Amino acid sequence: MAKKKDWRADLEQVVEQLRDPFRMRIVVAGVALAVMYFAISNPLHGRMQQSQRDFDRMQSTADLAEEVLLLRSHLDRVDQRIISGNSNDVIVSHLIDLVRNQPVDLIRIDAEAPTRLGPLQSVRISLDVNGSFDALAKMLHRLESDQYLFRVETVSISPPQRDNPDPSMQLQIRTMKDPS
Amino acid sequence: MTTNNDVQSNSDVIGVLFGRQKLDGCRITRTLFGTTRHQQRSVELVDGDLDTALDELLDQLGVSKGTPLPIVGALPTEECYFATRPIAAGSANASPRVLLRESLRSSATRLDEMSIDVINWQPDRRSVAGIVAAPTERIESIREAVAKTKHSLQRLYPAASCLIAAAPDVEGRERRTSLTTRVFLGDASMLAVMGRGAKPIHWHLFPLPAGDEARGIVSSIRALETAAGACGIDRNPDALVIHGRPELRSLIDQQWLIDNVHNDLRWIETPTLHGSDIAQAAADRYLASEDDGFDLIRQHRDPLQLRRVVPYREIGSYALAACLLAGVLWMRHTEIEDNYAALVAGAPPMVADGSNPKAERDLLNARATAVSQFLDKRVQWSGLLGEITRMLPEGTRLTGIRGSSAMAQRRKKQVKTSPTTLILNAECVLDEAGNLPPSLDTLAAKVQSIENVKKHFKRVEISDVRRVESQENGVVGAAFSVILTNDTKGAS
Repeated sequence: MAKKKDWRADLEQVVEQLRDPFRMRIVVAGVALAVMYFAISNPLHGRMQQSQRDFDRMQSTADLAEEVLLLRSHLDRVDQRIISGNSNDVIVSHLIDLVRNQPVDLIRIDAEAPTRLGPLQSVRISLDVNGSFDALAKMLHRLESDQYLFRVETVSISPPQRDNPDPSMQLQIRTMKDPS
Repeated sequence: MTTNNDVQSNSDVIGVLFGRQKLDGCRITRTLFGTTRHQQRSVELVDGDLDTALDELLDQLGVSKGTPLPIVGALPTEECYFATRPIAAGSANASPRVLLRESLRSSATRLDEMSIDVINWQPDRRSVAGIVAAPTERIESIREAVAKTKHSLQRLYPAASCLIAAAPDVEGRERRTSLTTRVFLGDASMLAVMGRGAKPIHWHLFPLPAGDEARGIVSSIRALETAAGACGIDRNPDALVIHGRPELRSLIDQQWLIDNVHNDLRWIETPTLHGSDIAQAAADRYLASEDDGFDLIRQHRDPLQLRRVVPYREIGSYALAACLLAGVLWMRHTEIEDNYAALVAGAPPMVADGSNPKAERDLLNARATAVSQFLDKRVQWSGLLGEITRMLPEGTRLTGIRGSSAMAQRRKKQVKTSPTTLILNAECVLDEAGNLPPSLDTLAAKVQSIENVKKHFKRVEISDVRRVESQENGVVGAAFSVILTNDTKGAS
């Protein structure tokens, strides 16, 4: 009861203080500012910040998606020129087929173990062929314009020797392979 | 019967000086833009009929009975008793009657017939109690007269205190708190007042002798300053101000006045001791909410209700500001939400799925980097060799070709690159004079001019030129090498 009385007395005292117009104005200004801050500005500002964060996140995701689409469109044209498969057999057999269709003699073909090239693999192949200069040039052109991407790292064409009436060509070729 | 604070108006007030012979009224109307309009009227009392005179005055001021307005009264100075007494620090709570009895020094006075108001304040070093009193019968007659008009008597000031409160407003701000002696001149009397700011310390009404006004003013001021000593003021005032009767200013020797009274003398036209000025001062004081002066009907005031002091206009302004703030913030929030919706609508489907394309982007980037590394500086040997051989001089045959263009290798963030080189070994026949064909001199420049060569090689030079003899047919010729490289280390 005493506490209740004290509470009422305190309230009455506050009300009495508020009869002073200046104090009333100060209290009204304080209450108004508090309401504006806590009931309006703070929650709305918080919601705005949350929305802005969501927007920024979505914007960066959209930018990423645009970038992915662009990369996809570029790589789609390249991917079909990369040999797929786990072993080197695909590469070797493709090269043999390529040489077989040319008027040159295949002397040697050897594929090294694949090395890592990012998510892809690169395979180095040694290829020795004999044939006329013209046939060797055509074969080289056929290799470089093949449906798959080949990079001729070294090319060496030697003139005919005593035991070999045709010029010979030694190639070090590199190609990409997609193991997936 | 109380002052009925409910009819309190902040924009339309009537001030009335309740004289014995006439009523002076002033109605002040404050417009929405803060400007004020004054309307002054006077009405003679016939046979002391205050009710009729007040009705007539209000009629002349254009006050309708349907709208209760606040009336602020002023009681003529000669009908008020006023004294100021120095008080001890502990006796500030002494009752008004005790203070008045002490001030009057008489036990015979019937204090129960007097309305008393006391103000405790400190004009100088000592605290004082200002005591004003007037006959209750007179005050009640005024209250009853006002009550019959259906309007409300809000305050009843002593006329002198109205003038004293109004006087500092016509002076500069720096003088408003100084200890000042003021003389308000009327037609046949003058009110000499010593006060600080808007509060009086001592006042006295003196007759103003016609033709000898200067001497009258000086004697009244001396009498006032002498009497002020008993009020607890033990120093001369800071300034002297004479109000009203501007025509006397040119008739009175100012230097003589200064020599006899005070160095800092000012003469101001308003307010004067006229009733209209007193009525206006009373209304002005009420409008300005200056409530720290005397009020002879203080005991009849309603306790100020909370709702009367609530600043509704300010609350309205705050509410408007809050609405504006909320509106602006909400508009910005809505704008962001709209932008978000537009972004989602226009974004690729994978965004709408909620999946994160970062992993795919990284994978594709790595794949693109690998392809880029593979294709970087890749030489198309077949086309290149074809173009170079077309540049060789007639009668020249290639005897050997060695070309190298290795792919760059990345090892632990380091890129290892090998120079791209091409060496062409060739033989040519000599001319009839046994010299090298002239076209060989320009061969390097010609090869260098090929676009495909420019793309891959920086240097082209003819090297290792020597005489050779064919073992098959014994023809003497020249052998040479064309060296193409992108290594600039040996460049001159």
